Amino acid sequence: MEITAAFLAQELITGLTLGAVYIAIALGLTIVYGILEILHIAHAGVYVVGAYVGLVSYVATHSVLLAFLAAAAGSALVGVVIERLFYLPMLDKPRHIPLMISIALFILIEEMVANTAGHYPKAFQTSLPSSVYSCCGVLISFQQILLMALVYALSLAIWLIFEKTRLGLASKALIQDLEVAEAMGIETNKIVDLNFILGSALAGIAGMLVGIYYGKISPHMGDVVAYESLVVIVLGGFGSIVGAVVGGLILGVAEAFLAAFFSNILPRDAFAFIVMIVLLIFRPQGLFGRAE
Amino acid sequence: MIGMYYITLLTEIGIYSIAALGLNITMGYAGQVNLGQAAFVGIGAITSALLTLDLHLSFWIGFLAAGLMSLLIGVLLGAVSIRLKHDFLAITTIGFNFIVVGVFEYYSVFGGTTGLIGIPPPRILGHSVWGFNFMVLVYIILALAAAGTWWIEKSWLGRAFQAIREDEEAAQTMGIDPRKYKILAFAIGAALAGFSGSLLAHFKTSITYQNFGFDKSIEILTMSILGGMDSIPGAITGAAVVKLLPEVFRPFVEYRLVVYSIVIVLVLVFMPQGILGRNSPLLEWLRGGSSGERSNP
Repeated sequence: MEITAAFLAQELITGLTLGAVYIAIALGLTIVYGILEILHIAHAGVYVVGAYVGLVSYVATHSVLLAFLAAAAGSALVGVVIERLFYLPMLDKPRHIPLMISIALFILIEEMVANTAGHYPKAFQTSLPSSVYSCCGVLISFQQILLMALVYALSLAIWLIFEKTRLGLASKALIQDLEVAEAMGIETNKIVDLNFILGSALAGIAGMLVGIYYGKISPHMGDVVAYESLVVIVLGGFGSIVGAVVGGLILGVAEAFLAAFFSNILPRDAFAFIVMIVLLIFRPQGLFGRAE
Repeated sequence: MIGMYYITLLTEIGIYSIAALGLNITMGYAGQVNLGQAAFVGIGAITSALLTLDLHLSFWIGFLAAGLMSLLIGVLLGAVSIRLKHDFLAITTIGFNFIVVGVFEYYSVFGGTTGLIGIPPPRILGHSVWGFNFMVLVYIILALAAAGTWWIEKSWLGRAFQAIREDEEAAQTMGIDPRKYKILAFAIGAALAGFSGSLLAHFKTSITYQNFGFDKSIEILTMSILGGMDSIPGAITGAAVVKLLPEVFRPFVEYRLVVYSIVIVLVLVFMPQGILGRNSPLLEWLRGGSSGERSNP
């Protein structure tokens, strides 16, 4: 294989796109983890729901914007129902209990989607331009640009919400100490709801974005991301938005290059976890986590 | 005699009970999360299969080597785990499972995508053991594993595990080195998984990487949690429930996983201590339900 600058640049673009996908899912996961410290595996199920709601709405309205809004709303609803029914009542239980519930919910959501919409992938064609731009031998598609632009804009928006608004402040207070926050007059349940709504809406948008990018969706599209997005939040150090963005980029780019050069050594998801475990051996608190 | 269908089902229940018992030790007694138990089953299965297939060694050597190999890799994972806090550990064990399965899938030595086939059944006094006799063998080994687990529970070792689960710092002041016992808990749990893997390989006679994926780890974890992580009969009951549920729901084959996941969620929500775990509603009821106070775990 000849390694040229154009080849490396092409792989970089693949990596950045992949990174954007990871960020889109990991952002919501980070928000949710930050607030309840539950490993919300079912988040990947919420992401699948978003993709399907997006497709159904697009077919009905032929508007990409309306479809995005519907995907966000549908996912937000599923997310907040999971939080109210299964997570809030389980907070005083040993931590593997909500984790197992979350994994079972993930299987349940996937299977329900598969049983209603069919097990096979469905095409997701939109009226968005499918043009591919070429520059110095490097190709980039409109879909890739849209995906990256939207994800990075959303990341910035989320960061601003958590740094500059009262919701962000209240969330931080709640993360510090739930009981004290409650005593200070913060309606903790409402704040948790809002965090779940925000995180799940993001997952819905991510699901639809990925559907448009690959041109198809399937009930099992969440399988790999469910666990690889965990790698992203571990790299980022759990609950840090900047960490999730940097972690997603690192994982996406690292995976693209590893897959390009060493694809015959190990599957991609195994690589991702090796990167993570090696990192954890040297920095048990993750890249951006603070040592205790 | 009972038909082959039931023999197969009962044998698998016995085999997975052993792996679930191992998880009870690592997670239930010592409180160390392990979401990759199926990887240890796989390491045992492939060790045993390769020794009998390629080196023509007897099943018994393969069986012991399977436990030993899983134990050694359990020590490695345990050594990594002592640096990690709860959720980091959970994700690391998930990752461990994906890596191990990836290695099995990509390297033909370990079976590759086609798997290992023609694994010979064990031989006792010159006779091949299969069918009903294999089932008896599995339950003898399960009885030994259960006895060993019971001994651990009652011994100083079990107390030490419990101490690091309840309060690591307090355990340390009493002279219990948490690192040593965490590694030991991983090693023992992994060894039991390795033994169960060996039995699985020689029972099925062909195995692929797909038999040891993360979904299988969840299945074993479900057995352990459903039964009650601190209960030896619980592990066996859990394995029986998890293996029988899909059979009961066979008529609704399309909704099998739906029903399965709903049952798991319901049990976890309403009976998080498991069917036979400490303070479980079922045990209270069996005891006559005399005590009015219901202590929450």
